[in-house]
Formats: sequence, structure tokens, C-alpha cells
Amino acid sequence: MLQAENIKKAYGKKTIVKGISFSLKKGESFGLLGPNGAGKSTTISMISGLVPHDSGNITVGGYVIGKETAKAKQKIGIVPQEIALYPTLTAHENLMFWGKMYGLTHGEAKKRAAEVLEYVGLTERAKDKIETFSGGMKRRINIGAALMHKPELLIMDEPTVGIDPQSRNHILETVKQLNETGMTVIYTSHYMEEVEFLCDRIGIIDQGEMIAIGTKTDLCSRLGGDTIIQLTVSGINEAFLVAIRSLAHVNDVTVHELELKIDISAAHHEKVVTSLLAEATAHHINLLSLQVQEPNLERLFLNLTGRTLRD
Amino acid sequence: MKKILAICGIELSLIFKKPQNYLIMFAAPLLLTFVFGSMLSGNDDKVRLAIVDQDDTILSQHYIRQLKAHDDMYVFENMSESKASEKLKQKKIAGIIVISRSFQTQLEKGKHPELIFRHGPELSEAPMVKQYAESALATLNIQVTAAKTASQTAGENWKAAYKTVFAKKHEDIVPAVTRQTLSDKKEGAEASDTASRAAGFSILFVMLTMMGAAGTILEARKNGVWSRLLTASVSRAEIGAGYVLSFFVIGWIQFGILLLSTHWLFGINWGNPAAVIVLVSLFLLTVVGIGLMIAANVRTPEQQLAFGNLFVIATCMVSGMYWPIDIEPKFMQSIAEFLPQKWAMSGLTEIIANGARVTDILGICGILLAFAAITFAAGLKALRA
Repeated sequence: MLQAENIKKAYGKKTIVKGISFSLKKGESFGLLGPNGAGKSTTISMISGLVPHDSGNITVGGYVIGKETAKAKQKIGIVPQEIALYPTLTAHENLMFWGKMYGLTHGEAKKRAAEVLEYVGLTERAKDKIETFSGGMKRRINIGAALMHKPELLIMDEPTVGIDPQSRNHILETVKQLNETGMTVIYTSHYMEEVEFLCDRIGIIDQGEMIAIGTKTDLCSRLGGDTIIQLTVSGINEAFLVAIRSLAHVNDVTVHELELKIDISAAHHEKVVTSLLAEATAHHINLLSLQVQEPNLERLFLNLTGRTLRD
Repeated sequence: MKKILAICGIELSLIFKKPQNYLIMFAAPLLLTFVFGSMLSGNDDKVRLAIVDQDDTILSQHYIRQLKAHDDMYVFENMSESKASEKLKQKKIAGIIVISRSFQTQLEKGKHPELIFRHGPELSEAPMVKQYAESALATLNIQVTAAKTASQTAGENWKAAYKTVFAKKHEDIVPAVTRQTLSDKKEGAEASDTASRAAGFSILFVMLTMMGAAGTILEARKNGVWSRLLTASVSRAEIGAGYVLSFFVIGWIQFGILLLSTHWLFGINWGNPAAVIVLVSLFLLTVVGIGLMIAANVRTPEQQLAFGNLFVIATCMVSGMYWPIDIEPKFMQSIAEFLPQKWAMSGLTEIIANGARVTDILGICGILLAFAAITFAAGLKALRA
């Protein structure tokens, strides 16, 4: 469905995208993660033909961006980060307009608008002006506008920013359903859980480069680091620390003295937890809590970029 | 083309769905035309007088025509004595001139016929009206005497001589003058104050609307609609054409409605339609170009509105949109030569007052075309950058 090969983009002397490559199969859902300024939006803009790429090749649905851009655009539906709608017009009028912009006739646009409104759950608000909608409803119509021409590739740029949990769930479910019907999805978000919920594969962009790509499990196991076992205790003694440092599979022990917390970085936490409990009993350590944090996207991201996703 | 029309359609919807736009587009210019038109044309309050023709002869009718021929100060209306009395009582007319039954007979005899002039006590112009009526009567007397002398020489009835020399001449002249004000070209004439203000305020408010309309480009850029249009399969040229077409159509709808409204409300005759269409179209292109130029050089719709309105109000002031340009100092009149409003106003004055056709305003059209070309080119270039 999509092939991006070594695409680059520079504005003046500043290179924003430094040779990114990835491809998507039809029906795949792909999460694009990266901190602000990493080059995600520029990458999306190049794929959608909005910004010309300086070098490399992009093919969408068999059409080469730059040569057959108009045909490629017909295959793509873009959900921008902004609510790119006319606030003083109704939901129905907005959808009709965007349908026509994608070449639908008046009749086709009317029929499709009714379907899309049903899809995003706003049929009853069809005649209401967008400016009267809640943030979540606006986002849903924003997505609906991108669905009017039944695109094969749906590109969503942080479509859940600033909305209530109910609308977010509705949007996530909608996107999941679209993906299940065979629509290819590229999804960017600051919310790891959204990407984990929706995406088969994940690509992480930082400073204009694709620094990791793969399934969540694959990335976490390869790059996510150790499991963290966090203990909270009522008192710490040196003998206990020496004992747990010498346990098999324990790679690192960090003590936060003020909070009486101990972070234990371990490769096989199942085996380590049993030994830890035994050592605590042996050294008369009173355990207040024990938490196990397995490698996740947040930690993976931190490991790779040195920053959290919302930085 | 469908996409261009769709963009145009949506922009029209955006403009005409806001009730406050009707105020600025139609109500304000009509109100100001009424206020300024009335204010500047205070001397147009003519004295309305009734004429009661009891004689109803060739000479009495000719006398009435002579009175009506010079309508700078008075409006004469034929009516029965009872109706005239009623109207005078209701103060709908200022006075009554009664032509007595022996009017023609007295004139034939070379006597001074009796004229009765009745008026209310508030008519300060009464002596002038009386003098005007007497003067017309004296002229008529001379004409009759001349006709009688001529008839004696030719051996024919004096009435035939009078008709040939005076009455016929008068019949020919009166309609010719009336027709001239409608369509025939008359060098140096000026439009009435109300017509001038209607033209001026139409130009002013169409420009203000265009400044606001051009701001929708910035609004579209700000809220992401512009980028979204570019990601749809719509070319930049189609988007630009859609917006420009919408501004042009909005301008024409506003101008068209103002033309018709002022025609119905104030009786303004806008003259040759083809000439008006060509002139207004060229002017609108210029204004759209100016709107694009400003839109390309500011960042927000608010700035567009502020700069646009400032530009329009200031330049319209200099160009004589609010008052006759002749009352402005010379240096302001010189500045106005470089402003499109001045040329649009000159063109409209030519069309309204002088009955100019397209061929008569080619020079003005050429200047407006040049303005349009310059502003459009600059606007589109800046917008693309």
C-alpha cells in the first residue's frame, strides 16, 4: 500500500527528515511515534503529497508521489491535527464540501455523508453547526471528512488531542473498525496506550530518523530493557542490599533513600521476585509494597530517545 | 471546474449565513446614502405647487408647459381646484396658481390675464413664485403678440402662426430635454447628490466586504482548511480560482443588490447596464487584488480586517466617496488620481449623469484594468510566497 524509501526533507540548511524508509501492507495499522519536532508531521506531509520530498521515493497504492500525486491523493484520507472544518457550517455541509473536494458528485456526496455521519455516531447532529459541537464531536467530524471518498490509506495525525475519554474511546473503536474492514492506517499520537491498542507495527522517529520499527512485542523485547521491580520498605540495611545485588539475573539496584524505595533491574523477574522475598525475610526487612514494571513503549521510547514522548 | 464552484459556493455560504454581514453589506450603505444624500442635497427641496387650469386652451396649456419647463425650484402639478384646495389645507402643496377662464381671450386682446395665486402663510418664497409666474406670463404675452403680427403679414389665423413658431418648438424641446437626462451624453453634467452618495457608499462597503472576505484565506490557513484542501486532490490553482471567484461573486451580489435597492428606494437611474457591468467588474477585480495583497502580507484575519478597513476608509475618504471630491484640497485630489475608487466613481458619474456607454468610458476602464492587473499580480505573487 505504501512504500517510503530513503525520503529526505530540508528547510534551508536544516534537515528535518534524514532518509526515512518504511513500508505498509494493505490493511496494516502503523503507529508513528516521536517527540515534538522529530519529523513525524513532515513525513506525513510528504506521504500525502502536501510537501514535496527532496529525495527518495514514495509510492501510495502504486502511484508515485511527485509524478502521479493527484491519483495517489485519491487513495489517501488525511485527518489533520487541527479541526480543519468550517465552524459556521453544519456537519452535513462540511462533509458534503469535503466529498466534493475529492471529486464526488452532489448525489454521491449526499449519500456518503449520511453513511459517514452514521459511522462517527453523529447522525442526529447532522444539521447542527460545528461550532456548537464539543471537542470530541468536532474530532469525529474531522475524521469523517477524511472518510468521504473511501480512502485506502487513512493517515491520522494525533486525532484525539484535547478530547474527553468517551469521545476518545469512540474514535479508537471507529479507527479499529476501519482497519478491520481493510483500510490501512497510519496513526501518530502522544498516547502510547492508543498506539498499543490500534497498531500492528510501530515506528519511532527521532531527529528526522527512524530509529526503531517493528511490532510492540518485538521492540520491547529487543530494546525495552529490563523489568523493573520496585520495592518500598520500612528500613534498609546494607547486608540486604549486598544480598539482592548478588542475586542471579539482577543487573542493577538503585536506592532512593528518602523514600525507602529500591529499584531492581532484572532480566527474569519471575525468578528474582521469589528470591527477593526470601532475602527480605532473612534480613528482617519489612516490605510495604512490591511492583513489577515490564518493558513498555514509554520505557522503550525513553531508552531510545532519552526523552519521554510528551517532551 | 466543479471544485472551483464548490469552493466558491462554500465561501458564499460562509458570508451569507452570518446575519451581521447583511448589516454591513446592505443596510449600512443604504442608510448612509439616505443620510448623506439628503444632507448634501438639502437644496433639492423644491416648492410643490398646484395649477388649476380653468381655461384649458392652447395658451393656458402652453403657459403651464412653460412653467414646468424650468423645474429647478418648483414642481407644478395639474389638478382640479377642489383637490388643490384640499392638498393646500393638508399642506401637501405650498400653493395654487389658478388660470382663469378668460386667460386666452385676455391675451388675444392684448390684456393682462388674471392669475390667482393662493398659498399658505408659511411660504416664504411666495413673492418669487409670483414673480416666476408673472415672468412666464410676460413671455407668453410677447409670443402671442409676435404671432398676431406674423399672422397679419401672412394673412392667416394667429393661432396657426403661434403653433408653428412657439407651441411646436416648445413641444419639441421639452421631451428632448427629458430624454437627454436619461441616456444622451451631456458633457460636464454631474450626478445628483443622492446618486453620487449611492455610488460612493456602494464602492466603500463593497470594498469593506472584500477586505473581510479576503480574510477567509487567512482563516482557512489558520484552521488547517487550506492545508486540507491541498491534501485533497485539489490543485493550488483550483483553490485560488475558487476563492477569487467567490470574492468576485460576493462583490457583485452586494453591488447588484445596492444598485437595485437605490433605484427603488431613491429613484436613482444607474444608466447604461452594460457600462455599469464592465466598470463594476473591473473595479471588483481591482478590489479583490487589493484584498489578496493585504491577506498575503498579514498573519491573522484580525490583522487583515484592521489593515484592510484602515486602507479602505482612508482611501475612500481621499477619493471622494463620502463627499464630492471637488471640495477636497488640491493635494488630496492629486493623491486620488492614484486610487481605483476615484476612477470607479468617475466612471459611474459618467454613466449616471452623462448617459455614458461602454465606448465612452474606455479610458477609465483601461485605468481600472491596469489597477486590477497590478494588484492581482502582486497579491497572487505574495500569496504564493
